Amino acid sequence: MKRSQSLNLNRMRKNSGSRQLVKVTVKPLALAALAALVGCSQKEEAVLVNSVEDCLATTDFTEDQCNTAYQQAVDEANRTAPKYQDAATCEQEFGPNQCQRSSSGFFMPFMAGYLMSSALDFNRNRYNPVYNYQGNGRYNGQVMTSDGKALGRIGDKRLNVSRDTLTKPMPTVRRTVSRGGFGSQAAAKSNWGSSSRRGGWGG
Amino acid sequence: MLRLEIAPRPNWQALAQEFGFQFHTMYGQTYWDESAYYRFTLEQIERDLEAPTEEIHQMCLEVVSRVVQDEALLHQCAIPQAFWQYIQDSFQKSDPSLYSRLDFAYDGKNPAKLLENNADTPTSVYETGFWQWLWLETQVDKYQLPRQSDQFNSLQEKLIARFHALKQQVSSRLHFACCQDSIEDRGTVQYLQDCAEEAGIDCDFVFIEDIGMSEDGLLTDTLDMPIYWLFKLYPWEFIFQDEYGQFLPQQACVFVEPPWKAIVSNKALLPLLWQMYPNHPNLLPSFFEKDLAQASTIQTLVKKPFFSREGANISIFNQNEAHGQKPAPSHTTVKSTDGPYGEEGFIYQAYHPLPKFGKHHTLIGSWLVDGQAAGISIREDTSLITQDMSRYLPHIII
Repeated sequence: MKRSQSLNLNRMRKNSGSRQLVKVTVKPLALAALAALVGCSQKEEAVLVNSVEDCLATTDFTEDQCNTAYQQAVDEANRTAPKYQDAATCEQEFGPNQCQRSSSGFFMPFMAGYLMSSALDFNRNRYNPVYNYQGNGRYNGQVMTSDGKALGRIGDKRLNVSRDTLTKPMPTVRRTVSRGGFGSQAAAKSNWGSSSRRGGWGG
Repeated sequence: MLRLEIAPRPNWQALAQEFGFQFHTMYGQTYWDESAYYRFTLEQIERDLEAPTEEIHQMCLEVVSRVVQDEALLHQCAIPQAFWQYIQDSFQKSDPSLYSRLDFAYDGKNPAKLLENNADTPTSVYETGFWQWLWLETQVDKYQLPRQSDQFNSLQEKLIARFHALKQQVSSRLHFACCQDSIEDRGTVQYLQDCAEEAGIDCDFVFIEDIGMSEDGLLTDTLDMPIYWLFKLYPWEFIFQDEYGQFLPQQACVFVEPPWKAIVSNKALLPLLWQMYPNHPNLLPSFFEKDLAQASTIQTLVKKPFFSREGANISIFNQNEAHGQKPAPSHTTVKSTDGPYGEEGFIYQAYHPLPKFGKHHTLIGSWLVDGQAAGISIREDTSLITQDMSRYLPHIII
């Protein structure tokens, strides 16, 4: 057979109401701010574990759960860890040899551990990574989450952290200083001719 | 290879509505045309299209590996010097590619001849990977086509598998981007996003014009989230001229297609292929303007800008007695199209007419996902030069 064997027609349907051509996305920052307003006072005990072995030794979670949480934390670290254009800036914060090059080419700190808490529903919650700030920066000696929230000193094991720190997705939002730096060539080319039709830029 | 008429499915427009295929008719003209189809034998597909497609792709990679090491060639390809290192790095790091489409003139008997390689921003991917596949399924279900009918079209399956592989290499969210005001481009990008999501990748969409830059020098979307991985249906040669282009060599954003595709999608590829693989059965003699003396025995030439899209600024002309001279306006122009391209220079390719089926000139697009041949698309035009409003027809193998 020279053609695709079967295709997921449900994903391809567009007028079902649930899937529309232009998806509407909720701005994560606004969500986070709302969560902070309603839930910041609630504290939970969490254990900072630095490996699956450590998780097994210091918590009541099963091996499966420790593994799943570890993988989730690694994925979350890849997505949300502080990222730097060069190794030196990263090491300034995190210390010599404490940074790696990410798959997208940025420099980011190694994950120092992740937060486990029995206060959370294992199946519904995320397990956020933390980083040790061991460089010469102003956060020296602190353990922080991806969004730069200090949880304690390096070496602290049991922490009282807000429920948000355990559950909310880490924002990696940036301050955008300009827009519209792409597209001028398309605009210039499409002004050509008198035809009213406007094709795309594929070919 | 035959062109056969068939009754369109009575409900096809409702189906198009259901599946969100919005550009089947554009500017009052038919684009998706299912009043006929092309029929191939398996041998025609495998020997004449599938095998040459994969072979030419490997030859193109050889050309790129030569060009990135040679400043004179980069210059000849009209790549701005500020991006030479960027392109070279992207090729040396083997920045992964997703897809390409090779355009062939093929009549069912003689070797398919490569007209150009749409390696950077190929479109008609939805019509090919999904819509013509659905056409075959529904026509077979309704006994309008024999049950054993097949199609050279594993495009969607291969795209999903490719996204799956890319997900292992790049762990970021994937942003999809195209320009505003083109329903066709928006539909194409949505289709690729559907494929990526089917592979389990978290995706977002942003218009090219809405992309921003953060104070720490990252590209951002409209939610101010950084863009680490970007599919752009927007040509590299435009990016090189845009304001943000200059910042990309310092960026760690991973692009699909990668920067080295700027060489493969460039028409300068055609004379370079001919220099490296002269007389290859699937290539047409092609020349840079400075080497036109070598083309003196070729009666009819096609002049193409380095960066033309959708058949713009192409002319076909007969060479007169002044062999080897730079073509002057006095040369007989057989056919030409206008458009906004050509500032960066032209290449010349031996004219090889598209085969005619009835009154239709037929062009085959042969798809690659990474290095694998993945299917074909067929465009028809009553003109000698296939342009963006050429009709799309489905095909079968039997």
